[in-house]
Amino acid sequence: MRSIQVTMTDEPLSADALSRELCRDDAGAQIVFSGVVRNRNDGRPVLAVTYDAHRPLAEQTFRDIAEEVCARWGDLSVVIAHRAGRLSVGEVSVVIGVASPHREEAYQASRYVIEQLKLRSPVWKQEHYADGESDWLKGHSLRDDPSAS
Amino acid sequence: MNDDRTTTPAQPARTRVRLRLFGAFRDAANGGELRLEVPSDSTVAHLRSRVKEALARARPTRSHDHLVDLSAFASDSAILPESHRLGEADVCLSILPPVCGG
Repeated sequence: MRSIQVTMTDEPLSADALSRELCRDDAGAQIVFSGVVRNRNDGRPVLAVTYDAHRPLAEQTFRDIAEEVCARWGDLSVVIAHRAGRLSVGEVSVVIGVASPHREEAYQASRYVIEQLKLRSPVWKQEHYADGESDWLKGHSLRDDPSAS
Repeated sequence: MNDDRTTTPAQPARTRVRLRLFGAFRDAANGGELRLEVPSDSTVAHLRSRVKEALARARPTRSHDHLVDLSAFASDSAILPESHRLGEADVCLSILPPVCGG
């Protein structure tokens, strides 16, 4: 049975809680992916990351991606939760859960969700470095044709 | 009979745009938004040029033109194409720089 839950939240994310949301009798496979703030990027020590988001559009994009997953791999259970605000190293920034009858579609769907989420979701990352500087990271343009201007 | 009423040319309709800023644009204007007024028949492409001008006034020491060129404009429910016309009703839109979630 198809089941989709998405959220953009200021609250800490729990992979365990999300995993419980995925339980269903016909699912023989369950994959929970967690993205975590790491302590280094491009050789620079990182202390924290601030996530900014256009919340309604971000949640709409998560929903669109989950619908694409179900259209491609069948009626799976998909949960996408993304954190907003300032996160320290080691905190979970995103959790993606997929439950399906068999492992093959769960692996593929989970990978599809995280890759599409990074390309399409209106979410931005500002890294805070040990030397006191902060930078917004470069990303993927959402314009159809950014070379048109 | 003389009609001495003076006729003034009709003023083109104007639309007020409240533009919410995200990511790297947040530092470019106080309060995380820009307020602009544009002709009501303006397209997103026209709004894009007006945003460049407004940001140049707000932060003259730093050009945001390239970032504006790479950015999309959106309502709360969809990304808008360049040809989208704003219309006469005041609107709240967002400018979305390149994204990097996850």
